[in-house]
Amino acid sequence: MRLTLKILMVFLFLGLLVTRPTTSYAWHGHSYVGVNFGVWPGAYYYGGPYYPYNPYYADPYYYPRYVEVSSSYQPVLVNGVTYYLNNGVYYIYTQYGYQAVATPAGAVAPAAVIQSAPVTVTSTAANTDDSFTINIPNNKGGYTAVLLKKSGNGFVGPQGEFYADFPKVTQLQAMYGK
Amino acid sequence: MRKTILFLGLSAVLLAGCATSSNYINYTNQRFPAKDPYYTVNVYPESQPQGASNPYYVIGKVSVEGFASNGVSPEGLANKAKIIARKRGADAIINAKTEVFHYYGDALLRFKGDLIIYAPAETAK
Repeated sequence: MRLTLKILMVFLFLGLLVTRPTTSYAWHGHSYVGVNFGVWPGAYYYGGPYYPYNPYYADPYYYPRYVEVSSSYQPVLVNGVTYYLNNGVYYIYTQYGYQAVATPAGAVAPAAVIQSAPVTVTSTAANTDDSFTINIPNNKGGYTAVLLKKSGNGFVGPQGEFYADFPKVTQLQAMYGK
Repeated sequence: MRKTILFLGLSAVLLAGCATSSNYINYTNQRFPAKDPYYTVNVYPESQPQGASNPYYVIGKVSVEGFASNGVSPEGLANKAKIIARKRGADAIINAKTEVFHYYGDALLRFKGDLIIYAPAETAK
């Protein structure tokens, strides 16, 4: 009886190891494959977790053989050259992926370029236990006050970005120093 | 009996990490060396498009999602995406956004972003 229990436990444990930690959807009564919930925008494909060539699989140890063409990168023909436009930035497709390039001459400026959300922080905000105001050198020779709020074990910036550790000035400068 | 309890406890610990699922779409066949676990992956939101002044390649797209009822938070999803980015050798995540879909009293949180590598000076055009 004890031997049977041991064998059972070993098999169950091995089963847990080979089962990919994929979704919680089973707990919600959904299927793994080809689910379109209808109420959510668009279909979403939950690939079979055991299929080794699944291009959707995030584990880099299962190298996908397929390279996807992204629907987010819309092809634009400028002066006979095919560029790909995404979020107001022009790209050309190379063997390394989409390479960002300067806006080509003759290209029509994208109709709607999403602008950065204004950062509304007060430079006089006092530091508390949960919030910190940091003055970041900007490109205009001045400083931009950036308010960081403590969230769990990390910090959240004005635009909702999360830092696991207290961010360095160079990190904040990349986002708020312009 | 003690072993059974131990087994159940171990199972619970293993299952605790299953609250999110992740997907990755490759834009290139090329592979890049994984980053150090302590490498800081910057996440740039969609509202802050990265121009070509600092040349880069978009190597793929990552999506991580999970239900709020399972303790999933936007920060947790972003951290998971950063882990994937490091494994893929990405330098940063751009066009990042977190979507929330409400569903029968629960909320599905989905983080999306494009993984980029900065172009070496000699290959930058």
